[in-house]
Amino acid sequence: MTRPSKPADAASSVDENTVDLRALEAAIGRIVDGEPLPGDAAIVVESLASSPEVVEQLEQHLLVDALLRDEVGYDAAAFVDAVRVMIEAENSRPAFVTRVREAIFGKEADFVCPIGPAATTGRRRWAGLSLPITLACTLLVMSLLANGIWNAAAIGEPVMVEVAAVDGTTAFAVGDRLDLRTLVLPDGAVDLTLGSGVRLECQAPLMARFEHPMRLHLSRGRIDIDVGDDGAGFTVVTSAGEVVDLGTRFSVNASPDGEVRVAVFSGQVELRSQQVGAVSLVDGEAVRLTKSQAPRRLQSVEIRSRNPGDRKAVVISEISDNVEVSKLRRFYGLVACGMRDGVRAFRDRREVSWQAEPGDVFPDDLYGADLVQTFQAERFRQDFSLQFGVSQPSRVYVFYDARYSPPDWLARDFVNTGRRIVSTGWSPTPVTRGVQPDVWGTLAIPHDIWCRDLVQPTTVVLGPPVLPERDRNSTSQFESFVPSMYGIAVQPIAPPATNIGFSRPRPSRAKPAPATGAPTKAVPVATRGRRGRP
Amino acid sequence: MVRRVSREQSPKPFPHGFFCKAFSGCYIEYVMPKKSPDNRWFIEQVEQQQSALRGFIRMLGIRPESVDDLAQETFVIAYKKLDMFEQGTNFGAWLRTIARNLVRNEIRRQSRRRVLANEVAEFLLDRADEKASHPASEVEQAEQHRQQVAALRACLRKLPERSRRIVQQRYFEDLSLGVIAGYENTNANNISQILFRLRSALLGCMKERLGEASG
Repeated sequence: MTRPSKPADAASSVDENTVDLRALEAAIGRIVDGEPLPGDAAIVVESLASSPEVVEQLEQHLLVDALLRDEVGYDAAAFVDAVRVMIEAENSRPAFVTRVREAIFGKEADFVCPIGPAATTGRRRWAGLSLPITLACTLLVMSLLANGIWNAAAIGEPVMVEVAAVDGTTAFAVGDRLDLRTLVLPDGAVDLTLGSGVRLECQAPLMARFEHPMRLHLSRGRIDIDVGDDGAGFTVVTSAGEVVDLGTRFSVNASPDGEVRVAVFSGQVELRSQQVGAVSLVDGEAVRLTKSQAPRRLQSVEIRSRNPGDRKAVVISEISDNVEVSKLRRFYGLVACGMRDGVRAFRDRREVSWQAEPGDVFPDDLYGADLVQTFQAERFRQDFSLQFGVSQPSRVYVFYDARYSPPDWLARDFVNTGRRIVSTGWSPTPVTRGVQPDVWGTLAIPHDIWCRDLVQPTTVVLGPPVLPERDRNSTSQFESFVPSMYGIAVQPIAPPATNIGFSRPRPSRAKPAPATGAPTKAVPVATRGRRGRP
Repeated sequence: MVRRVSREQSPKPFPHGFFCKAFSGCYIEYVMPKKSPDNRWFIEQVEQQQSALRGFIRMLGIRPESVDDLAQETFVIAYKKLDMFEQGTNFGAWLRTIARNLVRNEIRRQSRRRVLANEVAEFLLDRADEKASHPASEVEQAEQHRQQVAALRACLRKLPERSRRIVQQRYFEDLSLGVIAGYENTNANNISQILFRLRSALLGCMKERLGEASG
């Protein structure tokens, strides 16, 4: 690379050039990275004007940056879908009028006169063809008209919606009342309420259109739907089938590759697809299906966090277990940043929630962690294993029934922090046998908080909650029974630094745990809580 | 749309058209309309051109996070003005003209939201205008883009593990320099320099491969 020469002695010139070159490259780098410092543009522009090599260097770095963005995980199909919906919306306004006008005035039906020698004899030839041409034009007009009418019907009718909540998008404002036909949400999330009381929680990127107020065609994206008291029968149409509500709260997520994921959070829905006809899904069940495949179990469903200021990215991914039972459709609930006092603990126990121990406060370091809602039904399986991915350095918490000795895998891989939370809200069942109700008659099971630090993204495998046969009858007064299913939460350890030039990682949100190895050693960690029970 | 061509003209096969012999002395040629109820022709163009167009917009100094917005705006404007596009000419070049005008407007508005640095973007825009005046380079762009993508894929596989991890963090997970610095136990300046060297290495490798391919 050449730069303007400077009138100085040779040694200092070399030094200055080296420094300049470094400064220039750093400035180009930061500009390409999209995080320039205030003086960077001036440095680069000065060199751009004097050196074609710098121009080439900048262009090439921008080119590689663009190619990399394209190559590493870009969702081109979503981009095309977005354009498709935008031009569909563009069309839908004046489509019918335009088509009729074009049909009448023949804009689309122009005959271009022949080029070359044929042009000289064209008029005479056309003269004898007036009748066929008139007929052809009439047919063309009719087909265009029919097309226009069909198209207008396919696009659907506008539906009055009210914007109830907005997060991360400027396209909507709370309180707006809109006539929506096509709904495109490139970023953020928006909650819409229909006249029927149906509430739609839309997450970007999303493309949908209303066919009428009780029927929504979802092309792409996720919508969580709460139909309320008057919205029974609300239908979501997807490429793979229809989801008809039977009085419930459910979620439909259509991906660009044609796969549709349906999860039921409460109540019941009916799934209608060409492959299997009608299938009912109840609370806690989720499936994925395509046009050509029958519904298959969807192992986990992310449940949207509604707390402002929460992390946008979920740390946990790909939750799965080894349970293979035909027609099993249970899903693990992944509540992003959802760990807090009173949150639902298990997918198959609606009333049971995690809470601080009576008289204590909810542990600060657990607050806002990603929570996995597990199943009590799995607590009997001796060969059970559950695995999930963790996408960044994190602390994994397991809440294990404190009435029992820990299974080997837990004692080996995790550290007992010596603190507890409780799962509370139980009705008397075998799992609560021996638990004394409190003064209000509430049954609460104590859970020890175990933790393990992961310094890099990895896959975590957890074993069964049940003790091995050999360890039974030697642990506690409850030995002949099976412990409650454990709970799981994951908290990222190192919150990201945001400013350029930041030299050291910030202190972690979760306090560091001692190295593993002493399985049941208590870890002295402060228990100051954010929200505690009185 | 129906277009009549003379018998003397050799009928060129259109990708979505067919020919039929009618009327003495000429062929009736059915050409896929640019605007049809399903917009198939246009959507195909979007599919074919979107990657190169986004690259082009990025190279005009637009912030990465705004590239998609501007590319989509470009397509929507192109769709609205489709009647002005002469079928058979270079659609990609036409899109780039629209994109250049959009970027020019952004610079005029002093929009720091979308443009990285106005002075740099202005310079790059002038360069793009200059290049656009050479039609030959326009025609070659699509093919060139395909070759570059193929070369980049091959070169990415050769990166050492740490570089691949940083590429993954930066481009796949879309993490900021500061966040990556946190993971790599260094500072954001260092990560920017690593990315600079990494892109330089990829460029060198790509040039080598493209040179081999053309040689």
